[in-house]
Formats: sequence, structure tokens, C-alpha cells
Amino acid sequence: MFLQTENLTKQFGEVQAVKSISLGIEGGEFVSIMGPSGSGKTTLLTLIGALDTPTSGEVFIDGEPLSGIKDVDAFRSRKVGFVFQFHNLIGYLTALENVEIPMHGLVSGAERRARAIDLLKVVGLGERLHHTPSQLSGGERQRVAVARALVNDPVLVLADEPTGELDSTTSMEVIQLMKKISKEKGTTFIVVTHDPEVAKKAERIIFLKDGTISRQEAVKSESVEDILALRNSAFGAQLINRKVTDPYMENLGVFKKGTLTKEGEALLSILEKAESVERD
Amino acid sequence: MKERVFGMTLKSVFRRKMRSGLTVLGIAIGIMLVTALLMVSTGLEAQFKRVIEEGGGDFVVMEKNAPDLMLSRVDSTTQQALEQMEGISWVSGMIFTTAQIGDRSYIMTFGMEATERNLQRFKITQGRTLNQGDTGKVIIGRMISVQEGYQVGDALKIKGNSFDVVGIYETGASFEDGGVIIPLSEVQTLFDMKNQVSLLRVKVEDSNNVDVIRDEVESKFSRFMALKSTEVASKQEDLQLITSISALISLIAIVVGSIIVMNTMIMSIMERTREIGILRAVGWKKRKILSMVLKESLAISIIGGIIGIVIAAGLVNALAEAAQLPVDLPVTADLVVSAFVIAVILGVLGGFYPAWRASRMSPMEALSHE
Ligand SMILES: Nc1ncnc2c1ncn2[C@@H]1O[C@H](COP(=O)(O)OP(=O)(O)OP(=O)(O)O)[C@@H](O)[C@H]1O
Ligand SMILES: [Mg+2]
Repeated sequence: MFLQTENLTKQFGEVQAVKSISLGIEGGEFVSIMGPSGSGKTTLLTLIGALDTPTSGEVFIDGEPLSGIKDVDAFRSRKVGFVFQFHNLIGYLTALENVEIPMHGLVSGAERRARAIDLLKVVGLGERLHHTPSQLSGGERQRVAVARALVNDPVLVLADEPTGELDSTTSMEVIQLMKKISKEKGTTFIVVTHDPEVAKKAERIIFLKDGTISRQEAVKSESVEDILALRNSAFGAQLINRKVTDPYMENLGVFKKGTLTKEGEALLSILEKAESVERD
Repeated sequence: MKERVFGMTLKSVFRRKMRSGLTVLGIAIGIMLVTALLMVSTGLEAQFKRVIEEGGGDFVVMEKNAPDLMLSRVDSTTQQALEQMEGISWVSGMIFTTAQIGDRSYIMTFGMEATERNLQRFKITQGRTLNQGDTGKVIIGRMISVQEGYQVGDALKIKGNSFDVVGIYETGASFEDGGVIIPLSEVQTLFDMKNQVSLLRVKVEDSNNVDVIRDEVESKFSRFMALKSTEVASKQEDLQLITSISALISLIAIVVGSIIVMNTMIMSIMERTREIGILRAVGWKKRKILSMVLKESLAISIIGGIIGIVIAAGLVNALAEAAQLPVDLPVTADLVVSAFVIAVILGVLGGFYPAWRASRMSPMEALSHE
């Protein structure tokens, strides 16, 4: 197990924000955390990311307890990347300079620059290097934040409502970008979100309630999700009701003269099977 | 590349143009005052030194209780006694005073013997120098000649007596070029100083004995002090006053400047709580935050300091010229360094507390939803 928490507890005065959470996350896993406001999601992230210390319990990363780390600043800069909800970026610096920030003092200026440019290209902002945050869209700003989180090659990225300020299309773009990077680099991601669509992009959803894990859910593969999405679309409904009206579909050979073709029938049976997969 | 030349520090400072600008202005005014006063005190001191140091002489004898060179009186019996002393090569008396000439009062008036060695460095540009036995003759500085339109051959009224201008001189020092030189004996008559001079310049035969002879002179003539020429300026009460006023103003400038810088930087870091939280969250160490804030306050105070120095340098001499004051107030390297050091001190003093506060801010602030 790459990351483990053991009876992790955080108390703020009277409030127990996190109550004895024991949790394991595999290396390279993409996990989302959901839960009502005040359920302890942010607090859990701060404990895992060594931004704050637990009242009791322990976080282990690669078997090493966080409490044994002397230089937590260095640990954060080398091992953990953070993406926050608002004002992730420093307003008076360009996208490039923002991405360079975590590398200050670790790598030379030239290499800093080169790495930051590379990562901004990876997140699709190769043309926006010298824009300041106010000159970028919300989605672009979050992509810069993702690039910044990745710049020291962390083993773990913690994102607290990274799509909280974005519309649904942009949210999907940002979460897909994170997934792609997680796959390519093997980085573990923990994403806190209120958006079920975003949460479903993870491999696993952890539900928190009153500081404890109320339930966990494995998410089906993405392709099954896509087929389910097709079934739930207007076209899916037409197919299920055997009333396809779109002439383009006739051209594609889905139906002919008002009835489904063999290919159409096959497509329909796949959609229906996908429905039963969802039920298990 | 732009980003490299102007680092994060300057970008942060320039972002809040109004506030940084006002702070810079405050510092600039303070440093300008300090620089101006330093210019006046060092400039005046340099002029004293010039008159006394040039033309040879190992030390100067003047009245102990005189607050000012112009009020010092040394009588001719002392001069004669000194001349008799073992080991002394020569003694020469000079008078420094001011007189009304034409419509202008307080014109620097030097009384010197025609044989005075000091006179040799007054370069005659028109007419001739003073000769032994001249009476009713005066040579005048280039500045006063230009300002008042006096020419060789003109007659000047000095304290009601008429003097013929026989020459015009130039030394390059406004103090001298704005004054006039009259034979010593005539100044003594004119100013009621029979057998008296302002100071005596003394040359010792063996330069190894200067200190011994100086001590001897001081113990023998208790009413007088024997000063090395470099010490004379520091014994002038009016110069001392200017020096202490400028020290006081410098101190006030440092205190007020530090408070201004501190106020600005505290406001700045409070607004940037979240930014600092982000920097801490991505792994910046406390001391990196500390140095970031200190650099910003230093940048503000240094920019203010430079502006203040430049303004003072331009303004002081322009004012002196406009007022036709016969003074040179050069901006020396020492002076620039002092003013700059003061700017740096107030930057560090004012920046330290906010920097310390900033370094103690929690990385958790990065997550606060304000
Ligand atoms: N620094 C703090 N001091 C006191 N109480 C705190 C602090 N941080 C969090 N809490 C409390 O702990 C509980 C959990 O807070 P947390 O921020 O982790 O919730 P969350 O699940 O992230 O909520 P949201 O969805 O609104 O962001 C809340 O009751 C909150 O008021
Ligand atoms: Mg939260």
C-alpha cells in the first residue's frame, strides 16, 4: 500500500473534523473524496499532505510515518503537489513563473524554465506561457495549477475541489487531464469534489460523513461509463424504443425503412447489457 | 528576458503602484532631507578645511572660547611670542570676516598680508594681485565680479571706505570666489581689530615635532587652542549645530521611514496571506518567505533612497545658485554611501517585523475559502 492512514484524527477545539480514519490507497490510484460540507474532506487532505499535523493517528507514505519527517517543507515540495479551488495562482506572476515557484531553490533557473514550459505544454498551455492569471480562463488557470502541482515530479497530488469554480465542460477537461497524467506518470491523485460527474472519473469514490468514511465505491471502467452515457442520450432512447428518426443513422446502417438493421440490433443489445452491468 | 531582470520582488512591488509609490515617495523625501543636510554640513566643512589647510602650515592657533572662526581673536603679541619659539619656522595671521559691499551684506572678506603663502593659490584672471604696501586696494572673486558687475578699476565702498579693484581672482571654490581680499592691516583698521587676527597659521621646522610643539603652545597660551587643520571644522559651533541637526534628522528619517515601510509591508502581507500560504504549501521554507518580504521592503527603500539622493543633488545646488549663495555643496561618494546606507537600514528595520510575521503564516491559509 502506497499511502495509509491509521486511526487518523484531527480535533479543532470541540469539533472532531476527522475521526479515526484508516484508509489505504495504492500507488498510481486515482481516488475522489465526496461528502457534505464540513464532513472533513479538506482536513483529511491537509493531514495527508503534511500541511497540518493530526491530533492522533498517523499517515504513512511508502511505509514511512509523516511524523518522522524532519523537514516537512522539503517533503511537500518534493513529494506532494497541491491544487486548490480558488486563487491557486499568484496574480502578479505569469503562468510560467507560477509553475516555476515550487522549484525555487531546488533547480537552476534555466532548468526551472525548461521544465515549466514542458509541463505547460503537457496541459495544453504552450501558447499561454506569459499570460497572467487574469488573462486566463478559469479552466486554463486550473490547468496551470495542475502543471505547478506536477513540476517537482511528486508521488502524490492532492486536489481540493479543483473544478469547484468551473462549468461542467471545463470541469471534465480538467479532470480528464489529471487522469491522463496519473496514467502516464503513475502519480497518485486524491481529488476532493462536490460534483458527482467529476467524482465518477476516479477509480474509487470515498464518501465522508461527520469525519468518518461512510462508504466507498469502485467506479466502473470509463468505457462502460461512456456506453451508459450513450444509452442515456436522446439517441439511446430512440434506439431502445426502436424509433430511430435521424437520417444520418440510416446512412450509418443502424436502421432501414423504419426498422433496425442487424447492426442496429447488435448496438441495442450492447446498450441493454451495459445497463445490467450497472446494476451489480 | 523581462521575467529574469525584474524578479518576483520588483513585480510584487510594482503591482501595487499607488501604495508602493507613496511609500517610495515618503522614503525619498526623508532621504532627500538627509542628503541635503549632509551636503550642507560636509560642503561647509570642506570649505573651512580648504581655507585653512592650503598654503602650508602645520597647525592653526585660534581663540579657545570663540564659537566661530570669525569671532576668534588672536593678538600680535602672541604672534610675536610664537615666532620666537624654538622649532617654529613661520607664523602667519589671517582675518576672516564679512562686510557690506555696495548693496550686499555678508560678503566674505579675507584679510591677508601680500606675502601670505595662501594668496598664491588665488589665480588672478584679470589685473594683478595685492602687492606689499598697497593701500585702498582690493582684489575680488570671480563670482562677485560677475554677480555685481564689478570690473578692474572700479571703486568699491567697503564699510564706508573706498577701495580700488586691482584684480579679479578665481579658485573654483564659491566660498572664496564669492568674497574679496583686502590687505591685512586695512582690515584691522576697518574692523577695529588693531593688532588682532582671526587665526594664526604655524609652520614647524621639523614635521616630526608638530604634536610636541602644539602641546607646548597650548600649555603656554592657555587662552588659545592649537588645532590641526583637520580639527578646525569640528570646533566650529555653527558647523557642529548643522552636523547635529542633520544627525537628528537622519535619525528621524530612519524612524519615520521604517514605520512607513513597516506599515506598507504589514498591509501587503496581510493582503497576501493566501499567496504566502500557497508558497508555504508548495514547500517554500519560512526563511525563504522572510527573505522574500525583506527583499521587497529593501527594494522599496532603495528605490526611494536613490530618488531622494538624486533629487537632493539637483535641488540643493539649484537652490544655492538661485539664492546666489557663495557655497559649493558637492555630492561626494561618501555622502551618497551614507544616504544609501540609511535607506538600507530603514528598509531592513521596517521590513523585519512584517517579514517575520509573514514567515510565521500557516500553509493552511492556502486552503481557506475566504
Ligand atoms: N482551522 C479550523 N479550526 C476550527 N475548526 C475547523 C478548522 N478547519 C476545519 N474546521 C472544522 O472541521 C470540520 C471539517 O472541516 P473541513 O474544512 O475539513 O470540511 P470540508 O469537508 O472540507 O467542507 P467543505 O465541503 O465545506 O469544504 C468543520 O466543522 C470545520 O468547521
Ligand atoms: Mg473543504
